[in-house]
Amino acid sequence: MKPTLLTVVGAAAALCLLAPASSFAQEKSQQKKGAFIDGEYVEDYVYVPDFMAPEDLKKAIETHSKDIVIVDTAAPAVFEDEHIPGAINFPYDSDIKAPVSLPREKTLVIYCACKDHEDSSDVARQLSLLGYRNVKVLKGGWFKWVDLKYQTESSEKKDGK
Amino acid sequence: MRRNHWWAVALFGTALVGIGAYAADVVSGLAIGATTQTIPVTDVTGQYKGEKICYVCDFDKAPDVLAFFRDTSDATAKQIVALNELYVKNKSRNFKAVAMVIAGESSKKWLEDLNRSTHLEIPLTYFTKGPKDVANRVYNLNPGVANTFLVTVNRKVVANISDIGPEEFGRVADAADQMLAGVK
Repeated sequence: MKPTLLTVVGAAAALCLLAPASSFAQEKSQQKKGAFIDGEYVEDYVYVPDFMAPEDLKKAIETHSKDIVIVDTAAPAVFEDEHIPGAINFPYDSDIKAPVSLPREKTLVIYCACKDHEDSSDVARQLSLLGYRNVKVLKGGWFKWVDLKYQTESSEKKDGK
Repeated sequence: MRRNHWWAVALFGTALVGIGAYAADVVSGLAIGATTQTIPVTDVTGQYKGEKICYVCDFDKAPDVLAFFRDTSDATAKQIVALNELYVKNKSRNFKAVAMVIAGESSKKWLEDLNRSTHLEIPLTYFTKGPKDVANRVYNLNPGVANTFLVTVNRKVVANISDIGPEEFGRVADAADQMLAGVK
């Protein structure tokens, strides 16, 4: 009894300390093998982002489209500072777990402030693995949106109104 | 049986206190296990020179060191040079590093001069809005400390070392070595 209990306690403590360092190698090997899509295993799955042009998103915002949900992957403080009008905040996580609070019946348009859409593409990839079918990545992301001088808004200002 | 049980509980409690004390050591920056978030900075010497760029995204899941420096000083210069040496030593293993000066645009010329005199390979950047930049809050940077080093892999923090002098940089190098030893 004594060694068994001690072993369990020791193993639990060791796992707590070693988990972050070991997850990288583990995920890499999982990526090579394929992926489960809606519970079905797909060999050699490679996610290819479906892009939306910023001009199209601007039109959708101007026409008050109810078919899209704009998703900002920034940290909450960055999102509050400035974001695309009407966007909701869904901070980047390298390991998104179900259940996810985002709607499935609408087209999600995901963006980030990364040069090559790293965060938005990764979130879109993870959501596709969780069964989301209508996921688009905003081409050029936040930087392109700002370069085009399209409208932005701040949650802090909105709260102050 | 009863005595064995209490001994195990005490051991487990000690382990939890140890983990808690480790977390309490974080005086600046993100805690171990936290996800690193997007922070656009202004690039002074890197491949995106003159542009706003998020090196956290650019490095993506690669093993890296995110180094934040409160301001420009001789101590900061020594640590940036040491960070560059660490990068040169490990770049073949996909290791990345970036130096970010919190002081803002006022540090631009100093960073350019440092790069010119020491021929650094790592990007030197500054917080676009200086000490008021939202990145300070995102990364929980303590305004009272001179520097914060986050050793990360797979977008998770595996070591946090802050407010150290140049002579203590070995702690950052050791943490990076330990991380790289676990990356296949």
